[in-house]
Amino acid sequence: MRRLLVWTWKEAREHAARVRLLLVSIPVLTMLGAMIFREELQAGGSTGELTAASFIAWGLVLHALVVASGLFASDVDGGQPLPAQRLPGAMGTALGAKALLYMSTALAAFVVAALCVAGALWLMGQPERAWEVLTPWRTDQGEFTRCCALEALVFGVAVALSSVCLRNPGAAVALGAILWAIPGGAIAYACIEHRYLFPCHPQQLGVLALIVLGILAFALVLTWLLCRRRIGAPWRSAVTALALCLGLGGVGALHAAGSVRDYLDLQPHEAGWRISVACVGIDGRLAFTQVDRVHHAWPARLAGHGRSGWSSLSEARIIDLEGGTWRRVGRPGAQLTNLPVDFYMRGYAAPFLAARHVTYWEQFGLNEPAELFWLDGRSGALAHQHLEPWPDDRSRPLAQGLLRDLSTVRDSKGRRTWLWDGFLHREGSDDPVGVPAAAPALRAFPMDAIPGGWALRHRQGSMPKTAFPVVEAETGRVRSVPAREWSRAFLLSPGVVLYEERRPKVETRWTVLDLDSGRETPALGQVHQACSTLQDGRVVGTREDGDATAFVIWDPRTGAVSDLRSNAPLEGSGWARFTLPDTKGRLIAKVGDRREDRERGESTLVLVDPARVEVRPLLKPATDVDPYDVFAIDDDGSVLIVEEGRRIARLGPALGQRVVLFPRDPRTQSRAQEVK
Amino acid sequence: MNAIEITDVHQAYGRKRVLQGATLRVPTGATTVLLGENGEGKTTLLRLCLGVLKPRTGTVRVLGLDPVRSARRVREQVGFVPDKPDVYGWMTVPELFRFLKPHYPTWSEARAKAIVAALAVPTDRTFKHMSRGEGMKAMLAAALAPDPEVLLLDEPFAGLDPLVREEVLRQVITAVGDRPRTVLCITHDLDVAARLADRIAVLSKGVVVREGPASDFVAPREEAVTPRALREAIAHAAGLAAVGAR
Repeated sequence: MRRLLVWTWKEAREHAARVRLLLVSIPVLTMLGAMIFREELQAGGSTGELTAASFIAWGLVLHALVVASGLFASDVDGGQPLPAQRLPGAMGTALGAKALLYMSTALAAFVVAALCVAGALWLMGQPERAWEVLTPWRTDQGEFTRCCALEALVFGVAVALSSVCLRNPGAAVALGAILWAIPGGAIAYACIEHRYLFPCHPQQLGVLALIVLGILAFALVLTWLLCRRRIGAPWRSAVTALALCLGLGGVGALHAAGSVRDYLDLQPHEAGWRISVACVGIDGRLAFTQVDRVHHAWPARLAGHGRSGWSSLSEARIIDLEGGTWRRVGRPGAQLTNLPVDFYMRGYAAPFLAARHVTYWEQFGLNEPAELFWLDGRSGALAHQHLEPWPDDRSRPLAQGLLRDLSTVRDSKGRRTWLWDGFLHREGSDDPVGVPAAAPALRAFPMDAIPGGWALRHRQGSMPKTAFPVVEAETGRVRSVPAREWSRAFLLSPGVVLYEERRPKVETRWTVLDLDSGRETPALGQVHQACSTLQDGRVVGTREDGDATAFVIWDPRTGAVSDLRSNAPLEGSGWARFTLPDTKGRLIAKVGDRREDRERGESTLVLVDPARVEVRPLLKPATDVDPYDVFAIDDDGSVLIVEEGRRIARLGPALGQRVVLFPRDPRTQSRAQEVK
Repeated sequence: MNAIEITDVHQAYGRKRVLQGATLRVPTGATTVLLGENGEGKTTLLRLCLGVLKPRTGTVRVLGLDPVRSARRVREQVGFVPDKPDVYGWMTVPELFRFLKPHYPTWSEARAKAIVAALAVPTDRTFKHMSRGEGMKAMLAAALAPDPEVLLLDEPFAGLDPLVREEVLRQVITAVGDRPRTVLCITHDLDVAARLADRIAVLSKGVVVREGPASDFVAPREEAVTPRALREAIAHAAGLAAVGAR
């Protein structure tokens, strides 16, 4: 203990002038910086937080330049054993004293810098932010500070490690910067190029910084201890220590690389395989799927999140439903774009079976544009590619064709209509109607369609609470629907909207609204629990019929209600959830018993075919229907579904008929088929 | 009984071989002077005894202990004087003593003060502002203050003016005369060797080529060990080693 005291005294005496210089420089430079970057510091959000965090980090960088650069200089010489090496028990004690000095001065630099930044914010009239800066461990905003401070500490340890070999502080700083930049550059590259895999969040970057800090600190201790028996050869000690650390790190990296390789090489039978969304090509042979692999274990664990809290790896894959094979499309992270990817809309979007083309995009890096690829819907081959958001001459007609293929919205003459580049287009017409309000919605894909028109979704910014704009398919006019954006609304006819009003603990109420006169009329009555509209303006709904669910069609023009016949009894309490009609006007409903206590009862999938005035159950009632996602309806009335996110199966056309199309049984490579 | 036993030690710096099977016995209580030309491995031998180097092959024992494995115990009983002051330039002598004291359980404040007074070491100046001779006297005082069993001297007399050299030499002789103390001293100064040595060892080309009582290095007709006689004896020993190497 007495040895530690005298070594600490020696270190303090030796570095006193530097510490004084540091503690004077930080306030002066911080105040100077606060004056120069006043606007950035005052700004709200991440800009202001990052600026404040940068100022604090610069205090620690200054600490590295002033203190760490000369930390070992006086105790490692080129020629002879100095006191630290030849006095009894001095090596460990000297290292402990140096660590004590380094940490205490780093803490002092951090505190002084934080006080200066807080003072500057307080003078700027932001006392709350000043308090947040002083307590970075208490707030989410402190993540920037913690991460930046850790990065600066890594730099400091790298400089201290260099000072074991180089007596010249400038040279130690230069070498330290190189040591810092190598892992820093690798991490930055990984975050930019492979951010689907590596953590880019400040908290997770902080974990990586801690790992690098640990490796460098270990190398520093090792170098120091090796110096004891290598008088005059600190370089050899440093190289040996770094090689050893890199060797150990390399073993860890190899293990991690193996883990990443397994993660990237996603196999359908593995537990992590999840098909989140899918569509089929024009002939129904190829399924274009977005496959997610659930959380990658090690970065999430390193970040202290266990298996949650880590974004999953998403890939675009083409599955041959006839051959049972699959292949990846594009790089990991590629996103199919003409799929109903929105979670809310998944159960609401139209099943389609007519895409001549499928698109996906790849994003290059942070704040860079994406590249849009066009795949042939029949073969899956690459048809065209261009940079978004500047479609070229080749991609414009492709986009038009894709929107026409996938459009479920028709006008009164039965022509498919779609929105593109601020114009309402109609099938077979070369005279598009200008819709200036829809111009920003360049990608108003069918997921935004509502029968009779399109809801102009706000992809960014705050959502309107009480109204949302709708483009009428018939006229191209933009009307404001006085309902919440994500509530169900249908355009029955130009200027006439049917929308639902949901209130907590109150029965869902349907209202017909004349947008021109503002007249509201209650519609459907209490018997209609759920509904969807057809292209001709009629409404399909359900009602409770004793212990069963009955389907009805309501014609708003005449007020007539007619029943749809079912070839099997439909149990339930009238609860149903519809998809939008497909291109042939058919729709899928999940029907069942949804009790008030929200416990899941039995339910089933039914195909509603208004043209044949019939409802056809596809499954026998069961409690596990919810995991089924229907993504295509075939001509024969069978549907393609994704089961539990893992299998693609065909249901129907007969009740209970089910064929698993993918993945095949690995032993027999045959389709699993069963008829219940 | 030998205080220091070096047996068949090989040592190299990179590709440069310094010691090539050196063997040396330093009896307890004797003053052994190690002679040899520059680059023959004398300092390396001293560093091996101090435990700051580990021999590639061979064994080193100081007071019966391995100086690498039992570094702390060995260093607590060994005083070391380097060839130039190597302590922190901003320290004064009292600060140096305060700094060194916790490292040596046998440190004697009174002894340190007595040596400082005897050598007239300035106590109010930092090492940075001392002359080489003053610095070396302070280093000798620091080495003797713990009353070590073994004293290792790495050319402490080199580069000193004659007066200071005489002062340092007398202090060493006094320290040796205080009580039985083992001294291993490297020097090029044959006059020093002649006055100090009980035994002399000659290191040439990494091997101790001759070792024995100081009187063995002179002809029987000589009355005392003199620098001239020593020079002739060393030249003879080195010549024999060169013939052996061929």
